[in-house]
Amino acid sequence: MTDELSAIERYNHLARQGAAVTADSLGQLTGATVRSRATDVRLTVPAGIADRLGDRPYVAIQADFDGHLDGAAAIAIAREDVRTVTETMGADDALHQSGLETIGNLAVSGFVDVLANAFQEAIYLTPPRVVEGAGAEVLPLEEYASDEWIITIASQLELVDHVLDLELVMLPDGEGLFHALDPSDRDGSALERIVRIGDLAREGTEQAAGHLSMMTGLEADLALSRLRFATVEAIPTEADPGNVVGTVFELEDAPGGYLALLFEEEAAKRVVDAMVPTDDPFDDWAGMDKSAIEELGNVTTSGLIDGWAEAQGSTIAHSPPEFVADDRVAILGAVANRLALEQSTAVIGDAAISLDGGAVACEIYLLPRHPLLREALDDLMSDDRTDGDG
Amino acid sequence: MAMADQALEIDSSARGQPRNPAEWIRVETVDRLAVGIADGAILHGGDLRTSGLGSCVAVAICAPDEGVGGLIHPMLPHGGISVENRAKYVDTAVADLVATLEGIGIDRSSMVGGLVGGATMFSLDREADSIGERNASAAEAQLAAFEIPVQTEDVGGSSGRTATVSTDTGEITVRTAKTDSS
Repeated sequence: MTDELSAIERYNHLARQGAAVTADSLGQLTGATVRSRATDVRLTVPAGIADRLGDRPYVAIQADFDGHLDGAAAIAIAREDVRTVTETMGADDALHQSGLETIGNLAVSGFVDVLANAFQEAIYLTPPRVVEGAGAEVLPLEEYASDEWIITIASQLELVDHVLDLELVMLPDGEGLFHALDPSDRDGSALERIVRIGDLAREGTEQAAGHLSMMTGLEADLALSRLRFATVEAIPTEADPGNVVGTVFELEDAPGGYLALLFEEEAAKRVVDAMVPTDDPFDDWAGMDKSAIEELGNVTTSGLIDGWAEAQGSTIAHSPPEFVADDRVAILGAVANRLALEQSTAVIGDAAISLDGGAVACEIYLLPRHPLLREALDDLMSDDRTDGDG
Repeated sequence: MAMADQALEIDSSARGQPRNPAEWIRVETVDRLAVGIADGAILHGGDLRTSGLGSCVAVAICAPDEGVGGLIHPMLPHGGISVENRAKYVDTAVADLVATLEGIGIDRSSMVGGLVGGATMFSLDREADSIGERNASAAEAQLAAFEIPVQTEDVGGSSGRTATVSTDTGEITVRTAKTDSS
């Protein structure tokens, strides 16, 4: 039987090795301590990458590869991060450009070499080309629709106390990648199952956006979702510290695990004000404010999971909403700790809904338990096949 | 993993001993360093900081007389003998931190400990012993097993915390995200 989670776990493991090789190479180049902080594999869409990179200046090193895997690779590094690295090396402006090419080369070849070694097959890289521009325009994504699923690797390296964000886009033919990861997967069914989770998460996010709009009267502008495949410790590591308010649920039926819906504190106040306008002073998340957030959590959760439950032909029971008002990293860390009791890696359904012209962002984290997620996928795929045959 | 070029110069009697038996623990000489989740570091005379402590527990072990201290941020109480990631568990992470400090020449008798975190963030956690409580107990037990006295302890409650350790003095400063209601 295809085990898509094991295949993606292997890819994630290789991605982490690639990040460690890149960190070592950069360490040797700069003479400073560089280490891999967090690396994950993502099922995402070009629009999601564009949103993440924004319009900040980026530099990318692009190369094509063929051999055991065919495709394109590119690594995007924020321009200010490149400067941090070259300054650490003591390079002046004249050396800046060559430093930049060196960094990109090290990173792309580091990741590709790790894959070639793991597969015991040759992967050939074309000479790299440097592309500079704003945000995702430096990446070779032209041939993909903005909502088409692609698999990428995101990695954070730490240069002493400075975090460098790298976006590595490896775009091998998807079936080829999964066949390389698991040679028994001859028909690409692992990729099909991963994409099925992504589709359900996306549909759920769109439903949730509708429910949020309905409850608050604030228009939903954008709903983006992606899947991240990471170690459990990376769940909180990649989150930004900061106070958030929201709800956490435990899902009792497949796909199981936890669901967290979080707002930054100011956004949460705005949401509550939109739901229950009052002249009373803010009550520090007691009474009405807390109830409003809990109710919003209930309604949004139903948007997220009802479609999934319907596709499974079952219901998904969940715990009552657990109100949280704390540091984002501490909340996600506590959820990660619960998952870590039984699994070392996680599939993270990670979504963001923007409301009211971007003034309010709702962050959603779906963290299923692996055995129940597999169970859910088996149900979903067997239903799909039955539907297809019928 | 790359090591700092400038090693700590502590004690010549440490010569020949492995300088860093646990590779995951960085030994650095910078003014300040952030310690992530399932991560650890040792500094000579700077500040170590870890944020996002919910049910995780941060364990600091300092030797104030030497101006050296280490900080770890494990997630779960017990890993056992053959765990994949020793940084993730209180028992293995504390053992590695003690061994690494000893490896750079710090005498066990000069070490003092500090514990921060171990909160019960959700009522989901209150069904049985919370992970936070178990983490704090495991850290207390492991420090006791190594005969390291606990000088600072700020554990329990229901709030996330940030801990900053001044390795010069061994002093630990704790900040919470909200007023603790428990």
